[in-house]
Amino acid sequence: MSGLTLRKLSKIYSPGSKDAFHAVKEIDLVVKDKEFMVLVGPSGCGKSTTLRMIAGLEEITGGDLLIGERRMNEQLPKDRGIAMVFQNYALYPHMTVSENMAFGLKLRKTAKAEIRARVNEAADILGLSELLNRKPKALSGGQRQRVALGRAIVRKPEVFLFDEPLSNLDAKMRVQMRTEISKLHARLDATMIYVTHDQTEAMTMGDRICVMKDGEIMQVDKPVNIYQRPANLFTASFIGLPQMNFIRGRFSQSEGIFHFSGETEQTGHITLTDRLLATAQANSGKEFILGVRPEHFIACADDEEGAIRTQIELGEPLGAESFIHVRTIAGDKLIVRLPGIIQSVVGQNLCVKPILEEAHLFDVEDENRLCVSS
Amino acid sequence: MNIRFLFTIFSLYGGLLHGEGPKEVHIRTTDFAPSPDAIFSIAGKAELAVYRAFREKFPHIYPEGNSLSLSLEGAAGEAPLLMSIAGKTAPNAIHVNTRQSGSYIGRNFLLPLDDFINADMTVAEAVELGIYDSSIMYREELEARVRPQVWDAVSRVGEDGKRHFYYLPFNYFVRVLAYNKTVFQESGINPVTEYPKSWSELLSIAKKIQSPKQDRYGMILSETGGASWTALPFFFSMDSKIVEREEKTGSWIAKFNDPGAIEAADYYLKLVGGPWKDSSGEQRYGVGRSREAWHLWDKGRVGMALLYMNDVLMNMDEHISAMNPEEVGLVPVPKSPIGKSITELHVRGLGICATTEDPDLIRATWAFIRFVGSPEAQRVIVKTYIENGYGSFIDPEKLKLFGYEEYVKTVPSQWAETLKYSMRNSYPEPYGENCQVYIERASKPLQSAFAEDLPRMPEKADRIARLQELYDVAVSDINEKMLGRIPEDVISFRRKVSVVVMLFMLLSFLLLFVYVWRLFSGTTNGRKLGFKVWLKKYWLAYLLLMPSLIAIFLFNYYPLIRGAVMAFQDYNVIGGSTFVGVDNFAAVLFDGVFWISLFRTGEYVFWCLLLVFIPPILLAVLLSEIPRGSVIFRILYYLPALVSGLIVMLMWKMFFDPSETGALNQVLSIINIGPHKWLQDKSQAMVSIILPLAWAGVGPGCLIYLAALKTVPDESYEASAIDGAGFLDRIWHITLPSIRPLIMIQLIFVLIGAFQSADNVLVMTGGGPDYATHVIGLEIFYNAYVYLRFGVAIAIAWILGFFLIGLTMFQMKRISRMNFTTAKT
Repeated sequence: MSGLTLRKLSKIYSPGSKDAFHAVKEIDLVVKDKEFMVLVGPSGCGKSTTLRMIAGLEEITGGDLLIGERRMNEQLPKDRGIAMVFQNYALYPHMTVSENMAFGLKLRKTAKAEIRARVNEAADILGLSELLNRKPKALSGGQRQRVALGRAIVRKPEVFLFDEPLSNLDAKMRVQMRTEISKLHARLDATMIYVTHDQTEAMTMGDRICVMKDGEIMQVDKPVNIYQRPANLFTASFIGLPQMNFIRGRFSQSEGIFHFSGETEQTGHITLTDRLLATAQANSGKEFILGVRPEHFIACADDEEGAIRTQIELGEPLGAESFIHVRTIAGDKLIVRLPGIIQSVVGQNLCVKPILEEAHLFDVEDENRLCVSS
Repeated sequence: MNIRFLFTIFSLYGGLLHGEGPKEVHIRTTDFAPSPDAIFSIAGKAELAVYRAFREKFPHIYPEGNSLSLSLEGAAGEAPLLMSIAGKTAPNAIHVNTRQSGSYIGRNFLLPLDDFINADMTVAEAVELGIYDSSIMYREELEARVRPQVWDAVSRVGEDGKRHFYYLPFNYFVRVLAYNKTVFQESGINPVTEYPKSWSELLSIAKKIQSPKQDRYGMILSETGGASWTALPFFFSMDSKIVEREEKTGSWIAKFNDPGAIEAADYYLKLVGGPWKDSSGEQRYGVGRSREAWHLWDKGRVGMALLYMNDVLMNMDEHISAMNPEEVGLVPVPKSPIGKSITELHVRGLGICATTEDPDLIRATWAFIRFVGSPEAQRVIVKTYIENGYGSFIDPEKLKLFGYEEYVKTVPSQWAETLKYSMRNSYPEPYGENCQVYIERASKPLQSAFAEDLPRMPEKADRIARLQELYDVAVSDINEKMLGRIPEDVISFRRKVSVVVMLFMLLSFLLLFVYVWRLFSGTTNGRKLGFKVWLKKYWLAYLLLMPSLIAIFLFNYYPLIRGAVMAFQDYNVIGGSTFVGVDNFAAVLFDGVFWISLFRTGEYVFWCLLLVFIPPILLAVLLSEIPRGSVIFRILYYLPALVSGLIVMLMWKMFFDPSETGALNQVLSIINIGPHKWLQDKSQAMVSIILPLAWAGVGPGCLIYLAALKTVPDESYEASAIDGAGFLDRIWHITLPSIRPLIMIQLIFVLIGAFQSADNVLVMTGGGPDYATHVIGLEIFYNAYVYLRFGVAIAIAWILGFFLIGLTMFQMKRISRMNFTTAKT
């Protein structure tokens, strides 16, 4: 097993022409040996292209790809020591399950006994032993994806690549397979790179997450860190459901107060404390965006210090909690998560208060999270 | 009251108008109808003049042309008229030549002219008895019209002991020896005195002329299917009549294996390929030229040829008329060793097609066929020729007869004497039943002899012995196959074998039926449906299927059932058919040509698989692989498909021109490969037939596969690339298996199509050379439309069907496995 390094890796489609499109922009990424790295981002962010460059299915326009210590840019897919699981399984329809799994080994002229042993082992792991003689069309979606996994496992590759493997499955099957892939990672102890646009998969499966946008890496970190300390506005908005609330405003140095941007004086303000106050003071004179996750609001009385007066626009009671969509006087839309079932009335006033210890300040200009080193 | 009066007046007036003169009749004819290109040839002009004269005499009869523009190769050339007779679309007046007459009469194609010909009486006798009728042809007119040699050819003595006439000649041709005086002089031969008078002189003069180095050849000879026609005067001169009627039985028998015939054949071999040494001592073979010979004749590079003289216009043959008359000598065919010079008399005539039933039409057609060969018509013809400057080429007797004596002096006396002599010393072409194919059949032994290099065999006795063997086989073949003469014990054995084979076939067909029934019988989730449930569920589907079911039954199954009956009959298109039991099957199973055709079909199928089936798959795979310009390539490969099938064939036939100037040979010459004979070479003909199919079929075939290849997901290729598949692995393990169902279906279509194909072979080679391309479909066609053995043709078709059972079962199984689903909404 070995890790993987992307050094200034880039991909340009139709380079030199007027239709040239920069899909991946000189990204640097190190995936450690045995690590489960998740590439996540919205459609068109370059995550699949990056994965396909690693697999050798796309030509690399610039930079280096190293698997272990070896540069792999020019190697054929079969010589890169990788295995890939595709979104639509890409099983060979005319071959049985066992033939599908054995195909790669057969091409590599592996001994028949060895092939049989490996196929049986993979089938055991994935619960496919009863299905070995079936053709793919006689399998359910989940079973097919398992066969695709089996096909990757028998090869014993250095790196497993997954290209949105669960997208074609229904919600329940997706949860089940998610667990199975995580277990598989633990069992095989292999390096895995997993592309998804689903943040739940990213958060639950990855050792680390690499968030991408427009062909660039926004942040690479452990899931918890990504959630708790998003490096920028994009990561903050992309990870977390519902997404983080953003309130634009200006800090008044003299009062230690964060004034919401708005037409009138009455739009609202929050008195900053501790960490945020220090951060704001360090960057005084600038405009900020205050980021607060929905669960970091509490309902409060009208006259309470730091209360923000809002009007309810929509209520989503989910059982254990309720998401209330509100609008501030300044016009900012917020989503707040309140415990239990809240019977909200549209148009009713609601006062909420952010837990400032958990809130973040972002620079309006470069959209990076501001912090002071403690 | 007034209105009724007016109506009566109009009715009377109309009645008067229509009552005047005979009723207007439109007849259709194969000859003498006006055609737009008639004015471009002297013969056409003469025919037009006859037509006008006829119209003048019979203004109420309108002869019209009949389009038989389909022209076929070789022996099939006469098939279109037969097909039109079978389809009851034949003209009223149909062209009959000597060799066709036996079959036409035997098959009841021609109406007996009993009502119009009275051969027992002269006009004077009829007048005396007070029974004279101007529409009847009496003895003197008949004798003037029908030369004594062909009396038997135009009539048959029926079971009633009376002679029945079936058609009337309007034109006679005799074969004579034409020679080019310039070529003679060039070769140091005096053209006035030294023309060949005997076989030995013919050979020695031809040797003197033959000099391929100077592009000069002794005479025109044929080595292929027409060899027996070219050699016919030699056979006649040895007193061999090819086919004769037995006096005792009245049945026809082939006799071209008698000693005279073998002697004639040996002489012909010598002409074509006999070894000899020229004056410089160089070894040569034969004294003639067969390929492109007529072209060379017209260029003045051939010394002699056997050509036809017409009984009116002596130089009607285009190969004579194209030359300066001073340059052409026309003499009787040289005398054989038994001292005879007998040539072939070819008769063109018209008969009334038996499909004509309306008495008015019959009378009008009779008037027409009587007129076009009458002295009246000949007078018009002679007048037309003279007006067009052909006075010097008309038979002097005709000139005198029609009052143009001033031209008699200008006629070459040699020509006139030759015509007179040859007309007297001639036999008609063979005219027994099925003799329309005698040329092809009687050429077989000659072709085999050429193939065995028999002419180079030094000992005459050996040659004669071998020729005798070859001719014995050919004669027994033609007697058996065409004339139906098989010994009783042989036929009874054959019948027994046929019964066994037929029972086996019947069983196979039954098994197929049961198999297909089981494959497609309706079940739902493995349970059989009750009739009521079935009806309730599917009634609308079956209602909608009805129109096509009825159409399929009418156009496919009804003919099939009719065909099944015809296979046991000696089927006649016109008149009654007799039940012959399994004789048709016996005839097929014991016919060497059938087995040859089966073998050739196998060969054809093999080449079709190799050149028609596989290339589109490979091309599609390659086209789907190329990164750029695939659209251009697809268009390029598809374009040939826009040309219609027959045109492709005819175009390639031109490409296959065996001469050095042929298109393909010119291409080959670029890489220093000598000219190929293509369609004329036994070893290349089959491949050459299939090449055009490959050329025209690769585009559309490839397009189907390309469409299928589009459905193979890219991920399958990507997955295989990661699995370690190279280019060939990918094609073998991913591409081909993905389109396998389509490949199998195409394979079945190509196989069945190949087994049944005949049209392209017919157009390209007609089955030749020497049966090299005689596929089974063609054998069916020949039997039906050339040999008129419809029953035998259908028997072969059933046997072919039997051979295709396996393929059909496989195809049905494939189709039964396919899922047809309604569109998802």
